[in-house]
Amino acid sequence: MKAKELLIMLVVTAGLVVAQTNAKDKIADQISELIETQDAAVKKFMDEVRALPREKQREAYQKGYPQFDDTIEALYTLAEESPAEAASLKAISWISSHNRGKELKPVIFAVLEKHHLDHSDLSEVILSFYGAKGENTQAFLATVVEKSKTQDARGAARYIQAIQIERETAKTAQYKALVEKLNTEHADFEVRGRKVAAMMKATLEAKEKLAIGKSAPEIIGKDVEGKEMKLSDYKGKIVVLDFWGDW
Amino acid sequence: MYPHERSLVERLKDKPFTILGVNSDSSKRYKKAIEENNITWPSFWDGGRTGGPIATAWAVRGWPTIYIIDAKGVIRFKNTRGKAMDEAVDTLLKEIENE
Repeated sequence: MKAKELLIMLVVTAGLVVAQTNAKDKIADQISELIETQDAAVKKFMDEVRALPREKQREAYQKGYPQFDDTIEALYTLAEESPAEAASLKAISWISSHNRGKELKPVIFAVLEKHHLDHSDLSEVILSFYGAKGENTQAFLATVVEKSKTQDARGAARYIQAIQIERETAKTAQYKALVEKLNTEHADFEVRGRKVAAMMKATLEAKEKLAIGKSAPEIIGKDVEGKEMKLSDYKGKIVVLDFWGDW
Repeated sequence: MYPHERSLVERLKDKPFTILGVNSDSSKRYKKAIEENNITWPSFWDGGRTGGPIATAWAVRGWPTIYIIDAKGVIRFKNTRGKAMDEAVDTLLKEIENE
């Protein structure tokens, strides 16, 4: 190959790489901009609400909360247009956290499964499914548990599977099995800096100890003046134990 | 909440019954709440936060949370409120009378 041809080839290749990088950055920028614009609108709105007299805040909050629908649609479009981009994960997390418990579009689960199943940020996306129950979500979580090569993604999937059935009394056995699995395989998995497997197990054990028909565990504490009190001081009386706060 | 609890305490003042609170407010707010709402029953003070030691030991994640405990110290009802709370307490009082 002549030197001149080699040079042309190099230039063309470099140009293609630059163009691709630009397109990538452009998508990431567009996604960031959409999210930042919406977040800024929410912040501005909240500042305005907080400036109102306290009795008017609730009404203003319910009436004027910024709409998310256009941002969600725009983010969906970008994620669908550039399914393989890691920036799409950010868009998908944002949609899921702002979608009022609605699950993601089926096409997005297909995108996640095809392009991002082993991505290190997938666990963050999965944690955004917190309030979104639905068949497609459940199917996707099962796929992650079965196929993802990323430990934290599997941990997040099992964590969300557990959270979603925690309050369903008919699924207690399934919930217990998931908590066990989290403790054996994902003991170090953290959500917002907290190791959740051990916490869930402790809560589960406390709940079993506190079931109807069990002896109430002793409480030794103090009143607000520092005087010691015990639950057993009230044995022989019926006690309505009331966890309360004036808020 | 407070008016119902006050009327329950008033109605059962001669019976083996008490409301026992576990309060998660700051001490300042708690003292104010007691004064303003005429709360006459005792409360544990759980350290001024929702993650206090008693609430944690009892796995409380929502407030208010109610446990009704019988005279022998057995947990008998959970999160029973309003009229159902009155009925639950009356049932347990009858058990004592029938023994």
